[in-house]
Amino acid sequence: MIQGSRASVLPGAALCLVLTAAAVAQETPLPELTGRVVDDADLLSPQEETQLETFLAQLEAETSVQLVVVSVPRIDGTIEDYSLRLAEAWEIGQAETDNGALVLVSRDDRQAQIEVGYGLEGVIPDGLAGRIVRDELAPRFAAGDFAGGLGATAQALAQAARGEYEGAGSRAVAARRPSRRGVSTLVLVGLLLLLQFLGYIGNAFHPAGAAAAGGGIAALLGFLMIGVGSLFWLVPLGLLSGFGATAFTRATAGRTGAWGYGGIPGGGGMVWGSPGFRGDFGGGLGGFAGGGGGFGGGGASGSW
Amino acid sequence: MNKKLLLIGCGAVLAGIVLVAVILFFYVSSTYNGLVALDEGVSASWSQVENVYQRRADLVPNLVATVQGAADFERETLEAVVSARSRATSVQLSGSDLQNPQALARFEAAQGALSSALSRLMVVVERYPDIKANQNFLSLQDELAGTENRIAVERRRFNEAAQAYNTRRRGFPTRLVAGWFDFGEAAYFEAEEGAETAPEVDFSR
Repeated sequence: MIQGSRASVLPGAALCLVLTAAAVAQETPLPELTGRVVDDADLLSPQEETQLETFLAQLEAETSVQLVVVSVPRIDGTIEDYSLRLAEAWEIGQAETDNGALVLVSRDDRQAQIEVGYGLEGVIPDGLAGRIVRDELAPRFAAGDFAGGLGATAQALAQAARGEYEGAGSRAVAARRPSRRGVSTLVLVGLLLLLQFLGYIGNAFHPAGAAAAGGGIAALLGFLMIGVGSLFWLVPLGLLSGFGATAFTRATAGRTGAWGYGGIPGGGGMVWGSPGFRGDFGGGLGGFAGGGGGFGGGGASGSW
Repeated sequence: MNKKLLLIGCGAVLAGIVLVAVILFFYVSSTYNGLVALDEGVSASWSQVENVYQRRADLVPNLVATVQGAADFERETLEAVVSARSRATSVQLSGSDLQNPQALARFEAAQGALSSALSRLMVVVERYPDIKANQNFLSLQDELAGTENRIAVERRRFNEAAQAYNTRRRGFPTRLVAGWFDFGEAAYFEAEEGAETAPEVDFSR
């Protein structure tokens, strides 16, 4: 983001640190998605929280709609920005249908926002979301009945959302995510083994050619799987280690695999660069997580 | 012995040339495709921007009709909204305009005029309790607020897409490929009005 010439790397880095610190200080940190009810402002008793949580879990089990209720003590900035940031960070709703919604309450600002995912905008238009805030949430909150207000809001949203989409539910999504990692790892291990095997064969016939080809193929494969940036370090690395291995082999008059040595750095690059190793570790491992739903700023806010 | 070494040397050089050619081809084609994908991303997010602005324009007739229903509502304010709407909808950008900052500025100016006409309308409505109690108006007000929110979101996403494209386009060595194939720089939205003023700081917290 911040580019400095070589001479000004140090001040540039310092500036970068300062700017990052400023950005962190300015933006209210987002709460953790610990469950369907994130009550950071302590509006609910534990029983009320469990009750709401059960209701929301049942809603998802029946309709696959993910609804999350959040309360925070206060918000710096506008509630619209904050709730969108939350919704984007948590990715509530299923990835295919974007059927998530978020109820956000800022206690000290006395403001509430219903953030509606793309897929629910049809059944929960902004006008309806605003009416739910005005008619269900605000009067009960004004009377100090936070549990009643949140319960009625959740109920109204669930009624609006029901029947829109009857999908496989969240379990199908949760189960699919880790398996993608499994497949890519399997493919990579297989490729490495294949390279190693070819290396032994190639080495028996022509060590130098085998080394060059091994390094090149590994680099190419790595490049195809990771992208352009890898070329700059994979090609020299693959070739270097390939030839290095050959030289070593010749010097020691042994016959061990030049292909294998050339293949390893490229293969290593593939493993580290593959999508499976760059994330995707979360999700579906017990607990609650967003399903990858998208938001575009739909919904409405109100105060009490 | 010597002949054999020469043969191996020639073979290695030849293999090296072929390898470099293959890698170069893969590099150029993947860079080109990457740029095309990012450019498509810019176009796609632009159509989202147009969608949400159109959504706002579509709300205006309803809003005007609802407000007009209330007795002796200020005519000037309504007329300003209606004419700003027709001017805003007449400015449409096509693909190549996205690389033209002036065209984007024209679009913004037209939409900005509608924004300020609408906010003036909302201020005037404050003086009419009848309108403010009207369910239909309240719902339209929510829709309008939600649409402004969506506009902000899509503008941000457009700028992010344009930035991703421009960053890739200008980086080395991608800029060589971008130059050969005539990839122009995408234009940005200016910061939202008021966004450049520092937020209030409250030390009492």
